[in-house]
Amino acid sequence: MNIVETARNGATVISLEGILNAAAAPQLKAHLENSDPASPTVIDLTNVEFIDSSGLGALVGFLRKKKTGSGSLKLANLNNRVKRVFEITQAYSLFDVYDDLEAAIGK
Amino acid sequence: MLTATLRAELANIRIAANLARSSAEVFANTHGFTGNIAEFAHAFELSVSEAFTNAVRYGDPSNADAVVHISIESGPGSITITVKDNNPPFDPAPPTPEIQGYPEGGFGLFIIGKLMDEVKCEHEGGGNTLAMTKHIG
Repeated sequence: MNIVETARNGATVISLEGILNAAAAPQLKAHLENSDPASPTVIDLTNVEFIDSSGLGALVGFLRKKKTGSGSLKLANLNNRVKRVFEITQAYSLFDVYDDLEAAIGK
Repeated sequence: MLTATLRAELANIRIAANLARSSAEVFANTHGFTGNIAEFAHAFELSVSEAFTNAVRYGDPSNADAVVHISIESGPGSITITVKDNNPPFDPAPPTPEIQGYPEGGFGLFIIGKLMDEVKCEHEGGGNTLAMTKHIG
């Protein structure tokens, strides 16, 4: 999995690319561990080819950290395969999800 | 029937999931499936990813020779993919994680159950067999 972090309009944008499963989740968790829990963060999922419950778990863990640190986390650009996992697990009820990266950064 | 034996390691999850997706895709294309083939194939890709992950996660980490067996069997109107491990028995119907509690795991069998038409779990011969079936038509 490729992870690219950029700063945009006061927000940290983390762009993920590839497969987000149990083999990749530790890498993502390690990256997110180093982030500031108080900063606004957007995770761009445009190039996530596949996610399963292990990948979702990494995102849920990061969201919990953000909540306890008074930061914010938004997700952008979920494709249909990612959306399906969010629908089955009802993860939509936890996350702020946007169809567009600019909208996620701007709000 | 097509079978594959993979070492029980996380790096092989993707091989198992890709095998499941491509097999389901070919099955749907050659058996008159009229629905969304990408969704049909993704259901198996995701389910096998979850099942293989569980097989690795709950295996004996000290056993470097541990393997997971995948088998794919099709009939005229159904396809079944089976994941077999050598692990202790597990609860085939664990409680569904409450999403509002920010669970970081525990969704594997729940997701499989949502995606498949039939799920059969057996423990015999020192291992677990999880058979996942979808019907067409």
